[in-house]
Amino acid sequence: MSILDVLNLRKSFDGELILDDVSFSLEEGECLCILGNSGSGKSTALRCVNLLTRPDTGDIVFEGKSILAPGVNENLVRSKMTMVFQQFNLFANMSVLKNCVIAQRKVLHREKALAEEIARKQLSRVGLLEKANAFPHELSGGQKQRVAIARSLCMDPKILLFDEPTSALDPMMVAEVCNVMASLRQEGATMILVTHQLEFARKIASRILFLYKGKVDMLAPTLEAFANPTPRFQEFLAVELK
Amino acid sequence: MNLGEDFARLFGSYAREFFLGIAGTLLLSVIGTGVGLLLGIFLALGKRLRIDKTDPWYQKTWKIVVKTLSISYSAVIRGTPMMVQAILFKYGCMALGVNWNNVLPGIDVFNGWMVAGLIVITLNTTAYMGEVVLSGLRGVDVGQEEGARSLGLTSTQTFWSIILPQALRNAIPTIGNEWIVNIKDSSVLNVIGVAELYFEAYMAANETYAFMASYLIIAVIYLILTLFSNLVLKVVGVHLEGKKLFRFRHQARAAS
Repeated sequence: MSILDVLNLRKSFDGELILDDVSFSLEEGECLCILGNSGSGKSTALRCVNLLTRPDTGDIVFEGKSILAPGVNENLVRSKMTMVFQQFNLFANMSVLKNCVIAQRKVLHREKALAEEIARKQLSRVGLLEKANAFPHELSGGQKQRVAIARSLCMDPKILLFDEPTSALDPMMVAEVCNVMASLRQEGATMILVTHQLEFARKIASRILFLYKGKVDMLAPTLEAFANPTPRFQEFLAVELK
Repeated sequence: MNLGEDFARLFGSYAREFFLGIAGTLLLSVIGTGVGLLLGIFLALGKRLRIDKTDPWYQKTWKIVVKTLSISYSAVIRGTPMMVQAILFKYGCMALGVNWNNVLPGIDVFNGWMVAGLIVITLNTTAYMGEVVLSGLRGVDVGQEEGARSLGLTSTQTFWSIILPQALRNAIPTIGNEWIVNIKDSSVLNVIGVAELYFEAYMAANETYAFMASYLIIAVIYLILTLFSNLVLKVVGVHLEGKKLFRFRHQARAAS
């Protein structure tokens, strides 16, 4: 059984249809990569899954239950599908450690000592334990993004959502963040990744979802997607790889 | 009349009154600014309430009521002089049967009128602090809220732990400025007999007929108080800048 089913999502902003009947599902341990041109709706699709944006119609079923139904604890759902952003969004007024601790304390109600222990564990997983007492403004972009990943991991999420995690980074730093994601993948993490890094998507993804003007143009296993692309995906590849 | 003689007379017989006036003015400005800031946070919350189309009717109703009240309060208080507000407060209370003369009777300076003055300056500062907090909130990157919500924090938790501390940090210079404005503007509270610096000078002048000397003295005292406050703010500011916590810069907002 799939852990996540996205069913017929539709979303428009100011009369413009951004998502048009988007459906996909996600198996546990799978990495789904969402590709598409700017404005194809890939970030919006991801934001719907995290409930940062509510779709107009359609349903999202997580662990067998609709998360759009009335009475659902949205905050609990969000803590199980945490998001890593293009702009990191680390809390500027808190140390790296506090960034990783606060949601554990307030959402999962963990004891302070336990929360800090978990935070340190996740920080060392991304190789930044020695920065625990630093503030976000003291870190490089790559370090910030690795902290953001550690902060997500602290919540023991069922699914990790990545919204263009490397788009705001220098090429040198892209590699360090990609390495962290690749090692998470090896450990069997379930994730959805929106990215522009085609080569990385090819390496890490189990399936590719290609959105074109808000519609699902192609949903296929990675090998098949690249070996046997749809005409529009072919076009996209030609432009991106040029 | 000799100015030098007047000064000597005032320093001789009215030193205590002037010091009480300084104490009164400082009390009014510090309490007014501090409590005004606290209440201003709630006023800002009221003014920035978002009314969603999807809200149930009872939520829409209370939100519209609170938001309208907050906006009106802010407009009325900021659009009228504090002197007029003070005098209306005095006679309004009398009409309702509260005479501040009879509150804390028998006390010389920190009497009922001082309490009334504290209420007026606090309610007045609240309106300005609401704006200060609002503009501080606008300076906080939207991503901070999204980052917090995406981890499962509620909007209330996000506001108090993440957004507000950053907004207040942005607003420190403006908050300090409000304090200095209050040191000077508390003088208008003499119209309801609050024993602050101007009121004490007014009394001394009327008893001694040393008008010029009395008001010159308090002009100098006001100047010293504001210069001193500026210095305090600067020292506090440097101290805070020295702390890592206060040195953060906001990330540029990305278009995504």
